[in-house]
Amino acid sequence: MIWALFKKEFRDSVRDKRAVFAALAGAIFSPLFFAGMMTFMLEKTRSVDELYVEIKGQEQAPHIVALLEQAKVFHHALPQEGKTFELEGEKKEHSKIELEFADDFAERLQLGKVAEVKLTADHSLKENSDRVRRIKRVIEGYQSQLVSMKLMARGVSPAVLNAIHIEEKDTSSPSSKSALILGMLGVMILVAVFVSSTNVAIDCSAGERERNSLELLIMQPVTTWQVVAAKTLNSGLFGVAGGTLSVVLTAAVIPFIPLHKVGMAFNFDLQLAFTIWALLLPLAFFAAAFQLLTAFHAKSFKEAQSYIQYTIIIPVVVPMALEFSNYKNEFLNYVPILAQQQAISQMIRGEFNSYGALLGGSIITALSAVLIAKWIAKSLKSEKVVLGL
Amino acid sequence: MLEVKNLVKHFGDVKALDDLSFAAEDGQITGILGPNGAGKTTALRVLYGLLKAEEGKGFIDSVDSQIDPQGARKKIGIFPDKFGLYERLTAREQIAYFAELHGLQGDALKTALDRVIKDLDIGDIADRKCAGFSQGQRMKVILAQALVHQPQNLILDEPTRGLDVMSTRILRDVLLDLKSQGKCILFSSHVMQEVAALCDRVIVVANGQVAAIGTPQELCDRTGKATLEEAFVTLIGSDEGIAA
Repeated sequence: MIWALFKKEFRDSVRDKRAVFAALAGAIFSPLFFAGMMTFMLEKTRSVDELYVEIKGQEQAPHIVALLEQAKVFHHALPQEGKTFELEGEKKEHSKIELEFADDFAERLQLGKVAEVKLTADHSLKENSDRVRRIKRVIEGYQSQLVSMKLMARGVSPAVLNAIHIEEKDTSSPSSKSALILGMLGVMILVAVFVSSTNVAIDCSAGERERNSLELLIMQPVTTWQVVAAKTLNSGLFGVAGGTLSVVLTAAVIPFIPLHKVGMAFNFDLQLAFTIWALLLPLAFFAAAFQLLTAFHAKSFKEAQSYIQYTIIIPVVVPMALEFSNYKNEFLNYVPILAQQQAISQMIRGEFNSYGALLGGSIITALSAVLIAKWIAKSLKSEKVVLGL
Repeated sequence: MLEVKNLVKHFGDVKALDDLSFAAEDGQITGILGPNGAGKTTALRVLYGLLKAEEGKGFIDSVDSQIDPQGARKKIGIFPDKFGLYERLTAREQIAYFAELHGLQGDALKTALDRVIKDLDIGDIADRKCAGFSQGQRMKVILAQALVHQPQNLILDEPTRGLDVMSTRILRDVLLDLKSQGKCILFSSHVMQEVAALCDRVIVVANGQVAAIGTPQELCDRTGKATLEEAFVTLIGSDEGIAA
């Protein structure tokens, strides 16, 4: 009986071009978005940008200019208009910062007098504070070297200048940032599973009720459990299809992300892909049951759509928050959605070790799906739900 | 044969069914008449086993629908008041779906489909998707899916609403034909001429109770009115009429 119900549900959904398209779009969009974001971020963290400033009186301080060039700060005259200029056929952006060495700079330095250099920049621009700091750091480095040498020449240890030594450590290495974003990959795949079954779930619940065929259906010699089970299976299959597509695309796209440039290796091999895919199976049916529950309890198709928009935030926000806060607790491995996210995140980071938790989480997710379906079956016996009162 | 006995049902404080009992016999067309909110649809839902009554029972061919709703529903075909077709299925697929829900499979399914499509003369639209069907074509598909498993009992809720003359005539012919085959037909309607022309027996329901039962002629005689409509108004409008 469930087979007859399922066959019709599937046939009905597959012919719904809008639902199929939405399922595909959801699955395709996330890995591509992910790959794009990842590539963009890596390109950005990998290289320190070249900085073009106008340096006046270069001949006064050839050493400093050389040091600046090492730090990728180059001289270029201010462009006539706008911010860009052409260099060797390439368009470059000028920072519009000016560095001017005084005419007597070299002379005063020689005499051991304070020499002047003028740094002109628009400090209201956010990016300029970084640029100014970069330039200052180079000049100050040169200065402290100079001072040290002068002190040594006078027989004084340069250490007297440093009463306190601050040791700075930047923990945001490019690879830890990448790990964070890779962790979001898991979230993206989870979302694909949810988004792919949304339209189908709404259409066969709130939609079917709105088209007046739900009541007639449950007047037939079928139990509400059979009806709900068929609808959950059908919506879940769309989730599985979306998840599969998403995993396959991710596997296809990852080799193109320049992870090696930050010294990261991420091997999305067949075994990993298959394990993630297997993890998605119970989740897809859980997502389907969850969305059916929401849609059946909404009064209309429209209301169901807006409710589901809100409920879909849960699988996005909660795992994302956990991913960023790095909160770890054994119990998370057994909560539907979080169990899958934790497992995928661990696998991607290469920290995965427990198939037991994975299996436990999957079983609990599948059981939750059945329980939710049972609940819907029970509520379909109430007029309120069947008629959308 | 359809039968409800001493149904009592409340929705909140409202008493929807108040000790309601009636029966529809085989080989007859029985009409249920009643103003909106009289409890007709609620009584039918209890009869399908879709709603639980607080007291009383519903029987379909002596199967208690409160105890075995699936078994009871196997013996009826339902023509609902609001009918929705699955727009993305063809008429044949739609009818086959309901046949399968009634347990028909394989050759039996195919034979049943071919027969009902021929009987209702819908061969020309059988393989078209239901989207875009006229109201008359929809009526025929719904009727076909209610009859495909050859139920002994047919329940129709406001079947002629929104139908043109030709469709109404077809429906009437089908019902008379089924009656001659000894089937039990129960239908609710607001159209008095329809009821008067078709029904062997009329059950007038008001306020969750049976106000009167009889042939259309008997009801007219009892109230001293010339038309069923006048009789109906008298019956539901005064308590003395109910007592009579």
